[in-house]
Amino acid sequence: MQSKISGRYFRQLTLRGFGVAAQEKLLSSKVLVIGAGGLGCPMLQYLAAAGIGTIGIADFDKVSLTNLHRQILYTANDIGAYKAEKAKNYLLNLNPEINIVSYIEKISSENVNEIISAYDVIIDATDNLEARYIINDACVVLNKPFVLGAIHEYQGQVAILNYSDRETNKTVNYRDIFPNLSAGSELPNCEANGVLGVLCGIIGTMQANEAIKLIAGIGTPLINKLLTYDSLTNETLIVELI
Amino acid sequence: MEITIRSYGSIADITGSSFSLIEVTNIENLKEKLFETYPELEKKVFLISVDKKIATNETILPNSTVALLPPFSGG
Repeated sequence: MQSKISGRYFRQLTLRGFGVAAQEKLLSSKVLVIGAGGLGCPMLQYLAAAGIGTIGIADFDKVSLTNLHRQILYTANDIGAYKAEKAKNYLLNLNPEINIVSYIEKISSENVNEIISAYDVIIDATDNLEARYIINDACVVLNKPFVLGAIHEYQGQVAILNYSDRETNKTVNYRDIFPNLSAGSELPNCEANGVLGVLCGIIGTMQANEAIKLIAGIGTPLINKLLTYDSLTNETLIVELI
Repeated sequence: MEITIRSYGSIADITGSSFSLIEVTNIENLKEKLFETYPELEKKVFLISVDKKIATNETILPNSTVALLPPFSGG
């Protein structure tokens, strides 16, 4: 059968172990990216370019000058505009053949289930633990894979949680590995501790790679594994969580 | 027995990125010695990995690689 897949994907279709079957899986998939900031910007570009069929972007924030060193979807002209809208416009120019839905809403326990229920894979690109627990809990209730990404200074973490491991048939979620923090123990974010934009690029792109591998069924995604990357030394530690 | 422990994220701010403890034989006494040496750790949330696997209380540590991994928050 002659494939109707767009020529824009030709260079990945020809990749050994990828091909039409994997591309069709991407094109029929729905991925939600929560947070269009440091992690979200690079991952959104690669997910859109790779042909994820439907991408949801949830972010309630507006672009500010201090975002521009790492949030590479935006320009100085975008300051004051909603990130989710600007990101959507940029990505539709990059790839007009996919669907993009923007949510200019803060993810809360009230709206989270409704927003994530329409998606196959949920990617956490938020910058705070409160949102991460809300998203994690909704993923557990609705049985959605949760692609974690987070940064502390020069280090980053990536994992795929709440997804059944084929060998053990077990899942692990964020609360299993990091039980709820007590009030007042909130961790510093990039605003407080600072971050180099390129680390956001590395970790956000790793998350996109893991989502693509999971959807396309290639390689060994970080299912139930926590990867920690140190950008100062290039050391990588992968810990099995089950 | 001396073991070397690697710390990440905010835990490394307290312990340094690498340190050693002696007479550690299992996770329970690892925790005791950690909290004794670095009382600030008692308030912290972190997972302990031994030989690249999440540690349980039974795990014993003969020349193991131990890491302390807190949650990261930024993005």
